[in-house]
Amino acid sequence: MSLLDVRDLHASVGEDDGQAILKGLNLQIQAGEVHAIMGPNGSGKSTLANILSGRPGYRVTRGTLSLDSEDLAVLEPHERAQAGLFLAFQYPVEIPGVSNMEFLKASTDSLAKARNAEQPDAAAFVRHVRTLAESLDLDPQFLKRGVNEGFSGGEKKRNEILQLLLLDPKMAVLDETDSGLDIDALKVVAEGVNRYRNDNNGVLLITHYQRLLDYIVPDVVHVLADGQIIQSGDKNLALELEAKGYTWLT
Amino acid sequence: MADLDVVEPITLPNWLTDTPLGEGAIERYERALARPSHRERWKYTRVKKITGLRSLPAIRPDLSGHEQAGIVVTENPDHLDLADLVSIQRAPEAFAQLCTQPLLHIAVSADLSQPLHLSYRGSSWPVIIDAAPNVKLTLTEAYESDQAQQQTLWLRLGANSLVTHARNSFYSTALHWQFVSVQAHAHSHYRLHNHALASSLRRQDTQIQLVGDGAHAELNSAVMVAERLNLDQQITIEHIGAQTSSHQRVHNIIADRGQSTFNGRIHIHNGAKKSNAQLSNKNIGLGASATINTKPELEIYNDDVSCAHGATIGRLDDSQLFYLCSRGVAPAAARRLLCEGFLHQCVDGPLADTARPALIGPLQDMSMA
Ligand SMILES: Nc1ncnc2c1ncn2[C@@H]1O[C@H](COP(=O)(O)OP(=O)(O)OP(=O)(O)O)[C@@H](O)[C@H]1O
Ligand SMILES: [Mg+2]
Repeated sequence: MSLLDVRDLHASVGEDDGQAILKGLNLQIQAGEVHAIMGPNGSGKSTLANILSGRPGYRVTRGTLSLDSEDLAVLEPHERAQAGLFLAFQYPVEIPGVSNMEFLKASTDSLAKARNAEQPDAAAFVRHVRTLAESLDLDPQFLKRGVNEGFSGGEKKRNEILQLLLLDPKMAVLDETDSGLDIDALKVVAEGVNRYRNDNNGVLLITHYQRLLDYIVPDVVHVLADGQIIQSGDKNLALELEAKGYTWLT
Repeated sequence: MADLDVVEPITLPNWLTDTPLGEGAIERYERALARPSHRERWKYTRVKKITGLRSLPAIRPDLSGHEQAGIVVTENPDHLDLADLVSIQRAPEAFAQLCTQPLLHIAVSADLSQPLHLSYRGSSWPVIIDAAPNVKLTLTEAYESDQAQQQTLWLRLGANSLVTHARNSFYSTALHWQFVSVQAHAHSHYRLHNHALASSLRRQDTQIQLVGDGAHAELNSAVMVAERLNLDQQITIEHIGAQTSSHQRVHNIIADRGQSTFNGRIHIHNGAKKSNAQLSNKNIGLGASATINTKPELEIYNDDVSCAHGATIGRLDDSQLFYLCSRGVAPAAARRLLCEGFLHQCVDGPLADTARPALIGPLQDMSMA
């Protein structure tokens, strides 16, 4: 059984029947694998990420999705996180008034509680988070500020990776975490993802740029177009897309 | 409202009779009660409820920090000229209070290293605080009784003085009226940190006059209205001197069947050239039947000013909620966290540490479903 298993997924967005965005998508990711999804703007990449994480307004109309044999479709967003799913947002949300540290503690405690694990000791937790922040070139002062409040684009993305490393999920879906990063930040983020990877977890990278895949080498590259995966290959497929664009496939 | 037509008779105390404020005071008081601005201030709360508090015995507030050098406290001064500080027209019901109770005058003539603290054990004597030019002081207020009560406070800020004023109002059972009037002279700086829970009715009147050029007022207010409770906040800032500035941030959360009234009036006089006034009032209603009245009012009598003025009524933000849930936080806890964050944006100053847990207390008992 795959770690992430998506079969014949049809999904729509919006009120009532909405607009069909995903139209029969299949994706299997095994533990220890990194998959990349590329595809034109508006092809449905973020929709897939939102469907996996259970965002309100996004609906599965056909097909199945499971994580580690657990049916995701019946779970609330927080239960999916507790089941081991993590989404790094394309546009991380700002929450003024809730400090980053407070937010990270609330997340960690919720996940620990769901796993019946002990909640970390407060002082040790703060030390751990500060070390993670420093390893991602994030000034620990950021931890006192509101969640993503006034963070630059690159800082928001690094904050997503900080959460990935802290929460240590089974499956990480990264939606354009590389977009808007300068070269140095890209390396920092890639290093963070590589640090997270192990034989028991999986990564789904949504990206527009082959460059990221020089740093995080994928096992499989998929092309998503008009709600379906129309081509899959190894990392060389990304190079080919970089050279030729998407039109030759569609 | 009918009860506005009933004039509560007052008699002038001796110390007032021969002063400029006392002159024609009874007639001015009666005229003020009939003014449209008075009716507007009492649109959502019956004035009778508040004036009725005048019949309660009033006690002297407990002071601490008053033994520092530079403070002189006088009970019932024989003579006090309050003509420029107390306005009958702006708040006749507060003036009536001044005529009815003994009063406490506190003069501050040097920088204070410790806060001056007023603690109230119920309905209280009116308090007048005079900050001399150039002094820096911190004033804190807390309420130690859950009985029906009222307090009136007048603050005069001398030129270049800096007053930080913090107030935690957390008893949530009885009727409570809090009146503050501030007069800020040239280049003085007044900062108010208001943290309050609602009660069966808590009425907060705040009137600030920036009379001197360059005077500045800053007001942060965080209010939690729990189920079935009521808070009515009336803030008036008058820009009178040139280059005066005011900055207000008011965040309110109103639980189901709670009621909140916010009336934020900014009045920019003709002489207040190059003044700047900002007011942001945000309200979050929880549950289907929260009542929220908000009315920012702007009156501008010169065109060389900049004002930003806004009020919103809304719910918790769905994308923020989803972000928290996507990290494993259950929806009820996520909502609570967002409410805390919303209130905490307006919590600061010397009483912030006790204010934070107290403000969110009512959220712990709510289902947040
Ligand atoms: N909440 C929504 N309401 C209506 N339409 C939506 C919504 N979310 C996405 N869509 C539509 O679904 C389609 C797919 O959008 P999606 O965000 O999944 O694309 P994407 O592949 O991530 O694109 P990009 O590369 O630009 O990030 C688009 O046509 C988009 O307009
Ligand atoms: Mg996208």
